Order: sequence, then structure tokens, then C-alpha cells
Amino acid sequence: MKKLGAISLQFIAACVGIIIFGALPSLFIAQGTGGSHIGMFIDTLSSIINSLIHFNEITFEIKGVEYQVYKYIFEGAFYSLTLIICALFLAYLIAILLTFLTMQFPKWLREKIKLAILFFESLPDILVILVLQLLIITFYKKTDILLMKVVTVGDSQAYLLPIICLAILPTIQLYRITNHLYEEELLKDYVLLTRAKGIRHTIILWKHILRNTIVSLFFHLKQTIWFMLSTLVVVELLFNVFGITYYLTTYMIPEVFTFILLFLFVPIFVFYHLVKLIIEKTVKGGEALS
Amino acid sequence: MLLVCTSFIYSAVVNHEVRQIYHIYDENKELIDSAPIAPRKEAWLGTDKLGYDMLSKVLIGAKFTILGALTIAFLRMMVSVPLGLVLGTYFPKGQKYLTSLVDVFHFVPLSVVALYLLQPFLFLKAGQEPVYSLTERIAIEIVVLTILTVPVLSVLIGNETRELFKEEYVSSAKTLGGSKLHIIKKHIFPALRERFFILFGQQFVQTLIVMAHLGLFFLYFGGTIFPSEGGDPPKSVTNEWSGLIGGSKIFLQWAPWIPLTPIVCFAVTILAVMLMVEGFSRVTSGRPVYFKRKNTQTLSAEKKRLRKKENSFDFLDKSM
Repeated sequence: MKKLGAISLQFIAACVGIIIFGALPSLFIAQGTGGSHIGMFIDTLSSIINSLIHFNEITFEIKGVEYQVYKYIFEGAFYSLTLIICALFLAYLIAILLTFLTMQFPKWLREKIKLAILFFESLPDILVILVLQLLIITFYKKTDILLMKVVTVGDSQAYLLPIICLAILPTIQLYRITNHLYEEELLKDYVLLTRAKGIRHTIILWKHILRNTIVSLFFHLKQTIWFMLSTLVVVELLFNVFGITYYLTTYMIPEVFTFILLFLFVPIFVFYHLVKLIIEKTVKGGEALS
Repeated sequence: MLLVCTSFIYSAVVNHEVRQIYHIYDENKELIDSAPIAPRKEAWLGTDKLGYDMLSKVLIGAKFTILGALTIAFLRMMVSVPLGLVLGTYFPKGQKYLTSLVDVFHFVPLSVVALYLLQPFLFLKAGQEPVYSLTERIAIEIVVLTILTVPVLSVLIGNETRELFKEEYVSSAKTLGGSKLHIIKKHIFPALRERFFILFGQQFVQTLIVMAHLGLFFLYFGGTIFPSEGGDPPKSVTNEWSGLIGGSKIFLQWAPWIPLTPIVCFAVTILAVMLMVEGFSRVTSGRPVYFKRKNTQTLSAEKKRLRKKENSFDFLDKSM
């Protein structure tokens, strides 16, 4: 119960932080208009809070027509969150599976693989996305087979390729981490004991090591989410997805911006703490997760 | 063997960087052939829509991009290291709360935050007198990008400092009457120095990535010029890489070398920095960073472990 209180306190503090942050740029803009900085800041702050309370009145304009923000945001947020959560699961799954695969290889090959990981990890996300898009387009031109939807046009939403793009780099990062965790775990005494009992290598990997490393692997959940959010921005831009960051980056009005940022922040915050709670409750040793 | 290899990589990397920075005095080469030209002998990386050679463009932009990112990474460290040390030393109690507060930063994309804060400064309309001058704009961008990660970074350093204060040699130094300032100077800082270098490298990489993202949103380092009439993509003031990306991303389908050139440059620089960090940590500690996470074993213990591991593999073979 005490923990829940701490989390909700953190949550409220974060929301207040976001609202204040939303008003920050007005501190600087005032220079051009001649108004006083602090007054401008307080004005924006109060207007943000005001519009958050009457959130159904926030509108944005496209060519003179006003639209209500929250209707569109729900859709966009749902889409973006689907992408990010799918990508998250995909990344964890593939990273673990790949690690199983590599653990079957001899040691020298594993060292080579590690070097390759270092190389792939340093690729910026934009490059990966653009090259993937390009590959699929060229493939389509050559063979007339469209492997996946490259961009979202109208109602047909692209899911597969954005998710792959989102997942690719986090997978590589997680893969490196799991690899390392496994190698450390393999040296422990209990592995020796199970080996002495004649249990096969694969079973040891599955049954014992996975269970013991999964907690440390989830230590990286926060970093992975952070990284993915940054990539999400680029993915939505390059795939022409009307997700949440599209709205976030198109209408840079303080009130709208703050509202959408809260929309992005709240579900992910809740998701993270839910996963954390589940791990703490179910996995032994999960209490150490923080 | 490892040492030789590492120093080789390291010097190659340094050479690479130097070459990138010192060749910037090339002139822009206007080609008569119909632009954009695909990469070929005369223009190694092809040319863009207006016929500017991508290679020289990239080389010219390099100084702004690399130096900018370096400055930002350096400033981040300059601000967060003292802050983190002070936090970890003098306020170990309050750290917990601060950590949970800063945690929140992890749920908001950094690029968007930077975009939101920087937009008012960097968008210039063509023909309109800019509110801020070029140096002012660069300065503001550097400051904003610096401040963005300082909280996260300081708390990280603070946590490590606090951990170090639990070590035995620190408590014995305390018993001998060393003040906290003395302990920081003589014990904590040397112990963390390598770690700082690694963090510096990571910050550098992160800055580059954020800059590339901003470039996609037409927000360039040093300012963006929007043409008064539509049509042309927004232009970068300084020709730096993120500007080259943003202005050219629509060419991807029919002239892929235009956007890919600056992006590949980003990739190469990031790889170079990663290799430098890896090389540095191998030379100083004999312990690779990216392959193995920080652990407390010494080198000899590591060797022993490796030998043990080989044995255990033998054992498995026999048993099967």
C-alpha cells in the first residue's frame, strides 16, 4: 500500500512537471513580442491548466476547419501504443530466442558475433528504417511482390514494418545484454550441479538460466522504452503514420502539446509499473527491481 | 595481441576523425551535368538536386555536427559530474526521491522534448530578420540539448558515488579524518574516471542521434530557413548533417544517395566513437565495455574464470 502511494505521488509530480514544461517555451518567445517573460509564462500556465480541465474544448485547425483534439488523439494514441507494446514484446522474445541459439555455438564464434553486435548497435535508427523501406520498395519494383505496407495511406494502416523497425535496435541491445547475463550465469555453481546430474545443455538454458536472468533483463525495460519512444517519433514521421507523435509534433501550441504529452505519458507509465508489479509478485527476487 | 589490436583500431579511428574535420575547406563543386547525379567517379557520393557535390557538402557540414555534438556531450559531463558527485556525497538520503522523480524522464521521448523547446528559436522565415543571430542560435541549441539530459545523468553519477561511499577504503579514509571533499578528490573521482569517459562517449552518440532526429523535423543545428514560397525544402544555414537529412528525405525513392550520405556519416561517426570507447576501456582496464558489463573481478580472476569455463565445456562433452 505504501508503495502504491509512492507511485501515485511520483505520478502526480510527473504530471505537474509536464504541465510546467509545456509552458516553458513561452518564457523565451516573449522576447519578440515585447511582453514580460514571467507574466507570459504564468498566462500560458493558467491557460494550459484551464484547457486540461475542459479538455473537450481543445481544438486544432486544419485549413480553417476546427477539429476536436481528443477524438483524434484516442485513435492515434491507440495506434502508437499498439506499435510500441508489440515491438517491446517482439524485441524481448527475439532477443531471448537468439541468445538460446548463440549459446549452442562454440566460443570463438560467439566472440565474432559480439563484434558484429557492436557494429549493428551503432547504426542510427534513421538509417535502419530508411534502408528497410528502400529494400522493400526495390524488392517490389523487381518482383512485383509487396512484402509489407511501406507507408500508411488513408485507412490502410501499416503495422508490420513499423513494428519491425521499432523492434530492431532494441532487440540488438537486449540481445547483447542477455548474452552477457547468460554467460555470467553459466559459470555459477548450480549450473555445474545440474550438469553433473546429466541434464542436457538446452534444458539447463531453458529451465534454470532463463528463470534466473529474466529479472535482470527486465532491469532494462525502462531504457528500452525510452529508446523506443525516440525511435517511434522517427518511425511515425517516415511511415506517415497518424500516431500520437504526429499530433505531438505538428501542433506545437502549448495547450495541445501538454495534453498530448500527458496522453503519451500516462499509458506508458501505467504499463511500466504494471509489468514491474507483476514481476515483483511472481518472480522470486523481483523485489530488487527498481 | 589485444593491446595491439586495440591501439590499431584507436589510431585508425582518430585518423578518421581528423580527416573529417580538416578537409572542410573544399569548395562546393557545381556540376554541369543534369543533377541529381548518381554516385560515380567524378562525384563519389553523387550530387543533390541543385548539383552540389554531396561529398564536399558532407565534409563541410562535418565540423558543425561533430564539434557541436562534442561540445554538447562535454558540457553535459561538465555540469553533471560535479552535480552528481555532490548529490551522492552530501545528500545520499534525498537521492532516492530524486531518482524516482527523474525516472519520469524515461517515459517522454527526448527528441520531441528538444523539438518543442527549440522550435521557437530555430525557425527562420526567408527574408525575415531573425530574432537571434547565428551564434546565439547555436548557443541556445547547445544549452537546451545540454540541460535536457543533465538530471538523468547527475542522478546516475550520484548513484554510483553513493555506492562507492559504501566501499571499505572510503570508510577507512573517513576514519583517518579525511573530509568529504578530500575523499571525493582522492578516492571517488579517480575510481570513476574511466566510467566518465565511457559516459562521455555514450552522451556523444546520443547527441548525434537526437540531432539526426531533429533534422528530420526540419530543425537544424544553427537554424532553418523556410523559403517564403512553397516548393523547395527548408534549407540549413550551416550545411551540417542533420540539415542535409531533413532537406533531402523526400528524395529517398528516386535518388537514395542524397539522404543516405549524411545518415551514413552519422553512422560512421557513431561507430568511430563506440570503437574509441571500447578501445579506451580495453587499454586502461583490460576490460571491454560493450561486451561485458562493469564487474568487480580483476583481470586474473577473469582469466581463471575463462579457464574454468573451458573445463566445464569439456566436462559436458564427456558426459554426453
